[in-house]
Amino acid sequence: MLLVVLAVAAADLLPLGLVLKQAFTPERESFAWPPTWLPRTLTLENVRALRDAVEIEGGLSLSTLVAAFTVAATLVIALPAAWVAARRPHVDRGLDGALVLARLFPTIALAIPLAALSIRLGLYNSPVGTGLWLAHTLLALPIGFLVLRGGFRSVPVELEEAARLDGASAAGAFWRVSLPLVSPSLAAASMLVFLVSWDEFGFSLLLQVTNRPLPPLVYYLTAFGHPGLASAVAALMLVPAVGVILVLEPALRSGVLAGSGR
Amino acid sequence: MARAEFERVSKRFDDVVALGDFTLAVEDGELVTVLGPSGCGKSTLLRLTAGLETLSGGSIRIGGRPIECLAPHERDVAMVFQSYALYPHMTVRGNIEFPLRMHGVAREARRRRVEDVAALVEIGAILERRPAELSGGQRQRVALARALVRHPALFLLDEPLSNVDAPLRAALRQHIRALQRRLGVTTLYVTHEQAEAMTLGDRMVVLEGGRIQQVDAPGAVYERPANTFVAGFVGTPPMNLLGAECADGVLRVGDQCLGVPPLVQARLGGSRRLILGVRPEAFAPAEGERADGLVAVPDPARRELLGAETIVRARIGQDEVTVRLPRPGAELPRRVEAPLEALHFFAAESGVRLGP
Repeated sequence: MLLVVLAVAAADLLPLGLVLKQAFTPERESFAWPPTWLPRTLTLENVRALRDAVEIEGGLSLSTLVAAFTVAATLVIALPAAWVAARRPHVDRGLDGALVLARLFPTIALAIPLAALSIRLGLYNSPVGTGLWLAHTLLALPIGFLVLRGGFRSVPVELEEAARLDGASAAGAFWRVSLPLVSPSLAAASMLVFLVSWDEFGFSLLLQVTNRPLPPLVYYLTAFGHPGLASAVAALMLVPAVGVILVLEPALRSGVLAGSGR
Repeated sequence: MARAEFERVSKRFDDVVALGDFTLAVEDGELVTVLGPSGCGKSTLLRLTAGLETLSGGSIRIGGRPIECLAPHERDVAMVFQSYALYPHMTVRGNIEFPLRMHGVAREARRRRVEDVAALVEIGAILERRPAELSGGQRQRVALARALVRHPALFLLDEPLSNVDAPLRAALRQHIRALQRRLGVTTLYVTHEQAEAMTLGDRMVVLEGGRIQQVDAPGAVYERPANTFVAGFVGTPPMNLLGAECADGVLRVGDQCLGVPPLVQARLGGSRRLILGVRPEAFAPAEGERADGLVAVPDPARRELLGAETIVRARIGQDEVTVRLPRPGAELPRRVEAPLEALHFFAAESGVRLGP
């Protein structure tokens, strides 16, 4: 038991530790051979260098914007779809397949036709990442859908029926009863979808050539021989991701469904 | 408050008839219980009335107004679900208030009506709690309050006590009955517990296979079951049913010959076979050797002492019957006898009551 926990923790924390180490050590130490596990010299020079690069601010705001739009768009589509799927099994079978279809291909294979489409629609390299968040929504939909469908399935259908009898319209029953009761799933879906977009690389690389979100930026910095800078960006990317998880985590744990029956 | 009329109501799910030809009028202020085994169509009846399912045929009128084409909330019907279906994210007050809010009742009136109905079901002290913090009996009362708060024309209860512990059940049963009398609300109460159906109902409907088997006052259903299904379903232990032959006005059961009432003879027509019904409690110790009722021989090895009574198996020829005798402990009588007027006669094929 303890060994499993340690193994999982090591697998999770080792890369994280290395990224943090590289972010706060001089770049020449990153290239040292044999590699060092613990930093010999701590420095803020990478972080300072980041502050001077204007692109970082643009990347940060673009990534945030794209992730926010992806979450919003995914929920707008996935919520009603998941609700219908949970209540009508025959609709569910079709939706299930259709939504997962987009995830059958590697994103890089989809990125090229999507880039072509974005160019035609005038969304390519958009300063607010419109083409990109649409593409991210495509990727995130199956995840949002599956998580939310599970949530709606756990809400007893009698609660909606009771709401209908009490005078609520179908939409009213959804809004006032079902939606508050899937809040844990809603939090989980938001979190996962946010991370899908935040960390996505293939579409980000090909759909945004000069207005770059953060993951391609990390890639460029690495490719041009700046592991320290790249790690500093990666470390910076942790902050909003951890923030989103911390904000949504309490909702994940709430026992909001307890007490409806028996 | 209103009269509810069901006219040839039916519901089919694909090829399965869940409810067929259901015709019944529930009088204004009456409480009718619907009794049947699971899958008999009793919940379907409530769901059709509430508008949660659509009718395959027939019509339902409440207060003379056809409702089968109306949306659930336009029907003026309230329902207590078997699972209570309380909104777990709202307080008790929020739950009870919900239907009033949906119907646009003003804030002050809402508060007053919630508190009135809460006092009625004795939950005034727990209005600010959440359902998760309540006991089963309290949740049940909240569900009742939520249904009653908007003064529905028709009140539907779907096995409301099946999730309550046995000791509490009797008390809640009395409470529901008293509440229903006091409010005078027309009520349809569905249950699979005959004790509930018998004690609560002004009349009871026995349902099986989606068809009405009998509609009558509980006492009359017990006294004069309309067919062998009702005879076997109502009463604990159930009525004994025996095959018998009838010829020339004489009934042969095992090695006994009994007289047959003329009415039964007439209704029997050409058939010789029939089914004889006798309740376990119809037997009494036989006095003397001569007997003109149905005689059974108890088996002392197979008796159960239940405190106020004794249940014992007894033989009639090749057949076995259950006999219920008062006063346990004492010596078992050698023979027990059920008088002729306590016998029920049913047609052998259809199971329909022939008389008396």
